Amino acid sequence: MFFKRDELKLGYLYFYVHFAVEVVCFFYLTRVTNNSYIVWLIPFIYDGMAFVPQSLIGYLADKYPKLDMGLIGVAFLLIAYLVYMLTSFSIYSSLIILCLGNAFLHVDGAEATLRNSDGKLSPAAIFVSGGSFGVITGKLMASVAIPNSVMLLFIVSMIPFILLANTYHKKESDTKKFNYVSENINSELIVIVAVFIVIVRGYMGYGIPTTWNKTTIQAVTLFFTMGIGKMLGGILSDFFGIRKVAIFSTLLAIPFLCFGDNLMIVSLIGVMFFSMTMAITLGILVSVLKKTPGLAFGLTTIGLFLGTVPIFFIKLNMTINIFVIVIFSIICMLLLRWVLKRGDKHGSNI
Amino acid sequence: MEVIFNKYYVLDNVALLWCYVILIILVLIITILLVRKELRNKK
Repeated sequence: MFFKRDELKLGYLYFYVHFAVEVVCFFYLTRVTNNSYIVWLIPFIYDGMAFVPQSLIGYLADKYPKLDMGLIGVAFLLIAYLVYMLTSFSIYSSLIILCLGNAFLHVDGAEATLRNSDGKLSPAAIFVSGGSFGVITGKLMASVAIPNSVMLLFIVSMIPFILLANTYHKKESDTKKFNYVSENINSELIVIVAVFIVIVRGYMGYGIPTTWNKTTIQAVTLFFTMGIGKMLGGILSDFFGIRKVAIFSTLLAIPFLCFGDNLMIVSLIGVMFFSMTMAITLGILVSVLKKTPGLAFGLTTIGLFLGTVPIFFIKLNMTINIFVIVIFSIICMLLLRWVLKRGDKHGSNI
Repeated sequence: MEVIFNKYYVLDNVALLWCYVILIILVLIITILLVRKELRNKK
């Protein structure tokens, strides 16, 4: 039975950890930006400080596997909340500690799900999808009268999940089984291509037209669809092959994203398709950086940050935005078709 | 008084933003060097 496989159990455990991390972080961000004169600056700093250092933390985790990045991350989150609630220090001190906690926990989840995945994408995809559910839950919880201290329970609740996940770790890393890319392409070029695709996805994640998104229920549906899309990207890649899923999901997303501005269902189908590339780009990067999956994961988060940077500075009008989405989606599809190995189907035995 | 207060806050934010940008660029450069090192080791 596919969903009862041992490697997926780590995916489920880190799904919760990722969910809880995002609840805690977005609760904080929503509370802070609601009361602040610097609404723009704080999310921008958060994006950079939480996403960019993951490459270095990931590299550290690759070189020193005995370090428990998960528990270090929990400690950072606890300190961040205590500083935020109990001291009068500048908001940036708690923000930066919170970002580091977020980064450590992300790296821990990525390392665990990639190293013990038997070369499959599903565990990492299930772990990654938890974040989308956490983001909207954190935002909603912050908008109602819940005391900040409730978040301490969320932070502490991650500890048993991390400790239980540690018991599923294998002695030998499975990352050498990641062989999704063509062998005759230069590795540096593959890294550049994969990061470029993540940058485009990062931009589209914020830039896609969703005028329909006005009510809470609609926002919840949007984030849930993103989560389901990320999860399906990995699961379908294991079933049907990464190349097919990459090409079809990127191509199919285009019409739905372009014409779904006012139509919720059409837009959601597009969002789901385009979210599927998350696990695929991670699979590409781990295929060339087999010994350092943490660094590979960090490259995807750097790509996400670089993709979101334009959102803070530029606002494109609808026509140009749709033009950008179409052109870049086609470029990404062609690049994925070129980079990914033909007929590779890890999940053929499922 | 309020004007000066605001001015200092703005200065504080600009300085912070520059530190942040330099830090991000530094981390990006180190990451690129690490990736190149790892890819060379692979060969």
